[in-house]
Amino acid sequence: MIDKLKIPVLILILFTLLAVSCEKEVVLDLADIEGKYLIVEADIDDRDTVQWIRLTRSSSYYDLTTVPPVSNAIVTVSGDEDRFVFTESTVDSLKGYYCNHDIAVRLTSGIEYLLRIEHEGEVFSAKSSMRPVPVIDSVSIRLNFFSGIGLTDETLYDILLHFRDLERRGDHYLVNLYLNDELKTVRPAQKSVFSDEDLDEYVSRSVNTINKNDLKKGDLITVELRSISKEMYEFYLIFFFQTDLSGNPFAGAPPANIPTNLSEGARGFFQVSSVSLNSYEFTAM
Amino acid sequence: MFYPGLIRALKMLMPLLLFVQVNGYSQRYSLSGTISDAATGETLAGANVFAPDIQYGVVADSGGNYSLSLPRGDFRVVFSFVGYESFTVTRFVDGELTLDVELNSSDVRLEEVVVTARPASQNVDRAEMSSIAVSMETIRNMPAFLGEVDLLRTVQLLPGVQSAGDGNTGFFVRGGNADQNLVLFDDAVVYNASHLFNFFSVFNPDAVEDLVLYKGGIPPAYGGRLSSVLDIGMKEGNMEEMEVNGGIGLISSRVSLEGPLQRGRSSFLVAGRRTYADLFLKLSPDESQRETQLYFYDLNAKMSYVVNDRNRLFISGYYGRDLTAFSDLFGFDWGNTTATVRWNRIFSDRMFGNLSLVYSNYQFNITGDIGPATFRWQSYITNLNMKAGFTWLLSDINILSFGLQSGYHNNDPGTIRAAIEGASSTTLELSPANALEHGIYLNNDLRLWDNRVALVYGLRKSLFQVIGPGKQYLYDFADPLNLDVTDTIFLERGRSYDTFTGWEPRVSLRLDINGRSSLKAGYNRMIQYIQQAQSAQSVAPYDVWYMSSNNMPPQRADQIALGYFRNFYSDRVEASVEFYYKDFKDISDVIDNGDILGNEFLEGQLRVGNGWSYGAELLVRKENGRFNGFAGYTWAKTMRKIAGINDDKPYYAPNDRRHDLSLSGGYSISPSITVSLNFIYATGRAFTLPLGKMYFQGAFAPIYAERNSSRLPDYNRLDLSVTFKPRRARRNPGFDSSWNFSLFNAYGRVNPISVSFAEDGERPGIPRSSFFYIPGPVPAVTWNFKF
Repeated sequence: MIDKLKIPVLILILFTLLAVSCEKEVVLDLADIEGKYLIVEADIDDRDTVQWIRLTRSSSYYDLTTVPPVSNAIVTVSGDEDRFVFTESTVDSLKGYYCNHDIAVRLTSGIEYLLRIEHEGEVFSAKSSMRPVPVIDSVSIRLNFFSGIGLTDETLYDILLHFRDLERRGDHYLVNLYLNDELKTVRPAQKSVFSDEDLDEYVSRSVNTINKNDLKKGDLITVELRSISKEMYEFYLIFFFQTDLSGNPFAGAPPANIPTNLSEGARGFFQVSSVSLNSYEFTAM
Repeated sequence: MFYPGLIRALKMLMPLLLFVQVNGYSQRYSLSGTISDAATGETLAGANVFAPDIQYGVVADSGGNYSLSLPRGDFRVVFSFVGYESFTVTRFVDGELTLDVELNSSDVRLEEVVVTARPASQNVDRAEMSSIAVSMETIRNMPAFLGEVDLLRTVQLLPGVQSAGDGNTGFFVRGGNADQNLVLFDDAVVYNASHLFNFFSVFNPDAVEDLVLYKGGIPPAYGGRLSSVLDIGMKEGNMEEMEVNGGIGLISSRVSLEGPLQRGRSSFLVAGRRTYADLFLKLSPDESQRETQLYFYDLNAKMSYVVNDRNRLFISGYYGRDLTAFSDLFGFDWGNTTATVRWNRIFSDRMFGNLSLVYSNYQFNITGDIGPATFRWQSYITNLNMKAGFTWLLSDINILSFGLQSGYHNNDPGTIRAAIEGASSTTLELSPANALEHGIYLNNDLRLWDNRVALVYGLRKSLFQVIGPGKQYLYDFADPLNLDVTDTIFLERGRSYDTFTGWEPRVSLRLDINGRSSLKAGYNRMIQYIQQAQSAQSVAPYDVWYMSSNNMPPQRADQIALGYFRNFYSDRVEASVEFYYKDFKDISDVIDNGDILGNEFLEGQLRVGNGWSYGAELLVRKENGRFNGFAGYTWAKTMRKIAGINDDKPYYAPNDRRHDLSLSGGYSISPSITVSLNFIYATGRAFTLPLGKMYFQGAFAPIYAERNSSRLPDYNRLDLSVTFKPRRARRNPGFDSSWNFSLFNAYGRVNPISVSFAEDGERPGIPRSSFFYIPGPVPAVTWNFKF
């Protein structure tokens, strides 16, 4: 599937094309599916916190109203002998969010979990196996190259992750970044994903950048390494290609739907991850 | 070692060879000679020789040689050629006659309406259909984009040919893909005919003599591509006197020099061209644009040598490069190199032959040095080819041509090295491959029942053999949506692996109706062994080629066509209507979200299936006189059905356009002023548009409809140009110059190249869609000179 390695090339080629072409905002007359698809956001992990699953509906492309939530669904995750029910939040602003307090500590590496969603007589499902994750030895920062040569106006730091990769190959990882416990990588394109196929045995890898203006002495930068499946890894790459590189006529395949592991025409993704965390305390550089 | 299939083919062709030796009338004499340009002495390949009294004609071969067999008697013979005035002579034939003819270029005396006797021109008379010759005069008179006259842009206007859109010289013929066109420049394959991300073609108009496009009825001498052959001849140097041609334009300049090395005996031509658009980017207020380099150059050279009456030798070559770079951080260059040595020999009045040795190469290099990250990708494809072709005039109504072709392909899509300092490095070795491709063919052109019926039939046998060294992958087809590699096969040097072979019959039939009109029918089968994985929207310089292999069967197309051809106004206006149906087997397309850019497992990203296209094409054309031009209209439909794509359901090919209308014409108001215009209207390209959107982790992504189920807006464009030719200065009788003012996309229509669906950069979370397009109108001025 799509390899992130080529992204710089695609961006540069797009850039040369843009040097000679123009862009014009248009509103097209698109056929409309409105709420036809159930959208599932089920990214649960073994951190000892409340786990959330969000259910929404698709909407018209140009529709600016809020995301339509899906309420009154029966949501369960089961694996091995365990079965966990996710219950919808009663808070109005959290409609469509389903939570469970017990599942995190009970998730076990190597087990396949089944997500089942029943809504208005229809049943949707997906499977995900939890894979192990390496322990992060340490987190460090350094001045970003582009900042170093003055190509950007802002001062950026690379965040480096140091860990020994698991012996076996074929693992895929996703990295989240927290600043003082606040998640900074909310959106898919902000997250960093990689495959261990291109990793050295001992990994020191830049996983994201952070702006100096956002940092003050004593701030805690926390990196979260999550094990994900190959399919989820591709999901993120394609998500990135379709949102941040959309319209590049040289990008290759015609636009197509982002793959999903949900059945019965639902879209989105179900992933069960192991998580490893480590932090760095910022002391002015 | 690799020829057993060819020998078998030859054996099977032998009975056919015997069969076609039908005899014509007895007691006939040959009228033969060479047809050349009166001003330059260049020979005119493809010129027509016609004897109206017996309704019989021939076409001059690639060396301008002709031989017409006539019974005893008084005959009018008309010599004609596209872009030239016809010339008629009357001769009493009672023995072998030699007659060398020089034709005058028709633009010399545009003020006169040239009335020529061209009874039953080629349009109606010849058996072949679905092919069209365009003179360089016609191309030069068309409005040019940024002042650069472009041959491929003209080809895109012809009926049956569809353009990929603005800023794209890629073209699609009768539902075929862009890689299904065999583009030949003096017999050499041109792998990528585009400069500057497809804005211009690689052919310098000053270095081109003529071109013929075959959309169907492809003669069996050609093979290896499914949908068309665009055969472009490089100009021969002037044998009589030195000549300099050139042009200075806003973004590019070109100059060519030609002349005799030995008067009447040998000549040379060198032509060069360079764009300097990047110089204007330096004026841009945007710093990133100022740091950009973006230019191309190309060089053409040709030498012709008349050894003696019977032998001629040609050596020609092309070298072109495109360079784009951004500061020191990023560089991308690509280009073609070709070389041709061709020997023409007249064995007798009844037999001609030619032998060519041809070299073609296409390569590209991408380098990135972006701080801690480095990136290198070098890729090339090379082809060496030997072609021998013979024409044997068995009688005046029976022409046999035959030949063989043998070639070697060396394809190295490249090694991609990417490294990030202090982190990981990756090396991707794209499968290198080698292959031999051979063809042997026979073609018979018969005129029956006093030329009321013309039948051209032929057969080509092709053989393709993958040889080592190379690398192939084995895929697990258990999950057809997701092919995983199960094994790697390393091909040993000198050993042959997969062998593919096929028979490719070609037939054309012409029935004369009343001398002014004819009905034609044709069938041809084509096989293609080497193809390109292309993105749906554009032809890119880094699209790599791959060969038929254990995973990819050869592609095949069968086409039938029917047509009615008629001339009006004493043959000054040619008209035709053609219908075709084309069936594609084993064509490939990219899976959803497939990655074809530098992917070592490219074949795993493609699926193979079938396609079909059908349509009707109408062409009206007038080539001589003060007004000349053509109008073409195409109605077409192109579908694909490939397992693993679009849920296995049929879908529109990306190049499917229902209607396509082109009008192109020039009018000479006076000897010094010519105006011309192009107008194009075409249904929008098939495209995949969103039906809606989904939110996921705070961002949205489009949800798409079925593949290519929507349309981009209709394409339309008007181009205008005026050429002003000052009267020749008395003091400088040898100097000619002209000013060309052109306006591309005169009414500034926004014709999208592509569409983006992404959130608004300034307003996160807000869905937005936008077109990328080439802004218009684009004015340009070019000063052309000749002395």
